[in-house]
Amino acid sequence: MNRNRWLLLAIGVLVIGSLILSAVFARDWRALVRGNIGVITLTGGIAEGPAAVLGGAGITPAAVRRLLALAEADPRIAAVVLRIESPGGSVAASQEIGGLIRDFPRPVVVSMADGVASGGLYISVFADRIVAQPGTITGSIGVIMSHIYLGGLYERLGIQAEVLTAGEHKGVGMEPLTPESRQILQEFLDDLHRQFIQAVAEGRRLDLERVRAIATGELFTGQQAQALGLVDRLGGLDLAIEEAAELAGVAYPEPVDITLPAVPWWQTLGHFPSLLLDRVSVALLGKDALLLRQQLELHLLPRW
Amino acid sequence: MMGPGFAEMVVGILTRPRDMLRQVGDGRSLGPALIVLAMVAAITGWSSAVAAPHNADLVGGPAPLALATIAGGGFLLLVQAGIGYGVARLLGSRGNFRGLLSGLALANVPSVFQAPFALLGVTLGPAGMALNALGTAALSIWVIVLSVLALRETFVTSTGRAVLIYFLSLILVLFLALAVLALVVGLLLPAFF
Repeated sequence: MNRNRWLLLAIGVLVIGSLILSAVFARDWRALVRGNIGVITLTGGIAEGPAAVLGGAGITPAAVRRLLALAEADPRIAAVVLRIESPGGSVAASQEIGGLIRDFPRPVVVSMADGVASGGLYISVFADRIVAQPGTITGSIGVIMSHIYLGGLYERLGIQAEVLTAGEHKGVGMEPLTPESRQILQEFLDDLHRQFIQAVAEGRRLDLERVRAIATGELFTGQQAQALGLVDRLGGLDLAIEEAAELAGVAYPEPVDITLPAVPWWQTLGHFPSLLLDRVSVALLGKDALLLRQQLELHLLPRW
Repeated sequence: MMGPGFAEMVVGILTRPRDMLRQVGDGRSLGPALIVLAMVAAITGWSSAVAAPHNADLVGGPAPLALATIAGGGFLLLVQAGIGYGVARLLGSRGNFRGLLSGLALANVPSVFQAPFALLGVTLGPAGMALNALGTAALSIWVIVLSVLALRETFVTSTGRAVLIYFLSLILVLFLALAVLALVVGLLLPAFF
């Protein structure tokens, strides 16, 4: 071998050797190829569709399903951290999301941000672990529902509305509440409340009576929630990533954000008619009209 | 007459750059020179991924980053050579375009030493990261010097004129990049209003 080849060999050994050693010293190979802890950020109200008015409805079952599917399809993702900021939202959508988290085949850790209350807590209890800051606002294990009777408004507007129903209690939502209809709706809410309590007890492996005692709808700080067994560890996203790595047996956690593909700008134009309708409503009828529309969307819609 | 071999090319550009750049200036070694550039780009991309994995995540991992570096390196070479060739012609110099491509491709060879610096970066903590940054800066200067030499040998001109061609080309590339950016922003902005 001539001098050039010897020199080339020496350069090759130096360069390739450095690359291999860098990879060994830097982190495990799976992390080098890509992150091994998927981080999914869920922010906003929980609702079936993004058009709902519940706090902006940023968390939908469809979006969570797609995000978890992305994580599951990537064999390098050993565990998932859900970074949640949510005041809660609609009941069935929360249950749908809770089921998706429970059935995810790899460890899931929730990292609570500023506020994860009510439905936000509901979906969190299906994770393997929950990490919150001492000052995180959580709790609110309860159910809420509004009943709006529009008779006074119709009268003011000179509209005579009559409600015809078939079925003894079909018109509960359309008439002023009677003691009987109030009891029906209360039982309805109580059943949902029991479902919430049951989910928390099972998810957090807590005694049912103990959960029932704290399920008054009151808010807790992260620190109080830890003492009550609703939260495992106090800390931030980094701690949640460490917890996820521990559950998955990953020695060198390397987080990677899992996000949905960006929506092309021309698809956002689909919201334009709705925005236009809002503007026209406000211009013609005043802000009260918009407020009324929002209230009607929440009418008899149980939320947690 | 045959062009220099692969080993001779890589070692030659590091140990006796002027002779090597003069040798490849006729353009007959363009193929091997481009292969060398692709290998250098792959090693550079992989080194960057090792030193800063979050950057690699932006494009989907080290392998895509290495591929992007190869593609980007090839594209930049074409732009740099094209503009450099045009500027040299405007300044009255004549040379072989394929030879210029070969020389500028080989000028990137010192970048392979980013790998040992990346190793220092991941093993020695903050001191290693500082060494990595210093080493990378030194290697960049080495690449610039070799690029100027490539221009000088291709166009058989003075060092001063080669430096002028290099930096005028660089300014033109920056200007073009800004113009393209302005064009893209100008086309996209109305869509948001």
